[in-house]
Amino acid sequence: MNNVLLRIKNIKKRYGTKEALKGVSLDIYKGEILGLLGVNGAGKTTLSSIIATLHPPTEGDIECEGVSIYDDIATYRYKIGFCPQKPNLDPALTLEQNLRFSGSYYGMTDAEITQRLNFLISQLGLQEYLHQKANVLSGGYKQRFMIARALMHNPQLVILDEPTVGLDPHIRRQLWQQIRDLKELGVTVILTTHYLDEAEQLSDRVCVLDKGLIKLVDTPDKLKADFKMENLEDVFIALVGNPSNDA
Amino acid sequence: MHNNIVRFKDIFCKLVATNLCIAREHIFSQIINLYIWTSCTLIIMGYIMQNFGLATNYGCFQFASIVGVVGLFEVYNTAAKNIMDIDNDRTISYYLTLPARPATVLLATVCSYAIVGLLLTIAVLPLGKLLFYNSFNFAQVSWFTFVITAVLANIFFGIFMIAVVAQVGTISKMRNVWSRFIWPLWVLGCYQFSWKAVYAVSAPFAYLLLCNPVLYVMEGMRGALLSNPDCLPWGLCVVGLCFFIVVGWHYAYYKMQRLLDFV
Repeated sequence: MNNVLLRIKNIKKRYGTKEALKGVSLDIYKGEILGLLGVNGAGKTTLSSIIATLHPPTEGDIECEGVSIYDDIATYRYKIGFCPQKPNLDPALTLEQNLRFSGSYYGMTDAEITQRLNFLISQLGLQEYLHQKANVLSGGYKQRFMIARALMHNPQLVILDEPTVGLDPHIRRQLWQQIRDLKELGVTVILTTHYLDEAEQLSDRVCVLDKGLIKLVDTPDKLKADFKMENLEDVFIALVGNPSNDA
Repeated sequence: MHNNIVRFKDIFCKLVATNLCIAREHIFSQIINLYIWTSCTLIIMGYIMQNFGLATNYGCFQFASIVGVVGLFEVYNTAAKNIMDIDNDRTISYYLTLPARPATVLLATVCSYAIVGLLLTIAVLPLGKLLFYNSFNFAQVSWFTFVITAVLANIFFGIFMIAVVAQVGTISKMRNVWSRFIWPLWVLGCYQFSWKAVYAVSAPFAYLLLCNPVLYVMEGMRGALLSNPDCLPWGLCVVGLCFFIVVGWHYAYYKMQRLLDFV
């Protein structure tokens, strides 16, 4: 298909003797929300951090619009926004400074930064804490600021690594809506999660990772139909089994 | 490295600006701390220890050493801050995914460290003048050599700070930093004596001390501030510092890459 944004080709990642990814190949299409699912240790965070160029793969390649991202990694990085599992806003800066500096790293002018900042803080409801430092924020607000920072430079692809872990249910719902809004804006989203309801609600397709390998990639509806099950959680359990049995 | 600086100069400048914006908050407090420990040391070495037979001009000698070592004494705090970040929030991982090479991010850290170190180095000069008004003469200072030595010294200390972060890696090992890294470099870096004095006692030991980068900072700084003819040639100090900057940078980068596994 010609609307492939990202082509992941046989990615392997080893940490010493442990093989976190054993050869992952996957196409990610423009404008979709792809849910990366898996139990703890399945390789979700490893894969998303490789896509975000935080870590290099041991083997394999990733192509963005037909070009290896490692040919010119800086150009690729302009196209992505990464929101890691653990909020890493700079605690020494105010949240506004975090966002303003973020825009400036991507070559945005002051006027562009102000315009984008105003748009994002109103979209994500962040006005109240703009002049505070990150350590005063609750988990939900931190995540929203992380998403705002990832979106400052208008990326084509946003990688959200477990954005709703530890959040209250109503905050989770708010973040879900904000992720849907990203799709409306034409942004491609890779959503790493182990909440199956979240993946079912948000994802156009889900990719189930297990022990460093892709078990299956399909739409939630198709998976439910194929497995003749009512929800994604049952499908997931049927696919992955009970991880404690492996111990 | 050259390509990195040219292609990513804008983001490099923004990163330095960010670091300086953060450093600005603490600079006044750092100067107060600097004045406290410097004045305590200089009063003892410049006025009290003379009663125990120390030379009358030793205060100025010690002051020149302190000017050189100011940047080294910031290594511990800055390294601790960076190691805590790696152990906790990993703010650095955000910077490592910016549209630049990791070397740009690390170079910006070194550069901002050097700027702050240079400011502190300059800030301590009036204190020396105040304490040793007649013996420390600004007219004797070779300002050109002073600036070059101070810049190179603080660049080296910035790189050394990154090397310490990469070497230590986790906050639980932070206790090793002072005794294993900073202390030997400092006390064996000719902080309290000149290289020629060591040479007079033991030539092999003096040659061994040439492996200590802080020695070149101390000797270079004393040469610049005191016009002391007993110092090592200033050119040798510059070459020595440049050598350790290049070697230290490659080591720090390599260790940091292993620690953070960046692309």
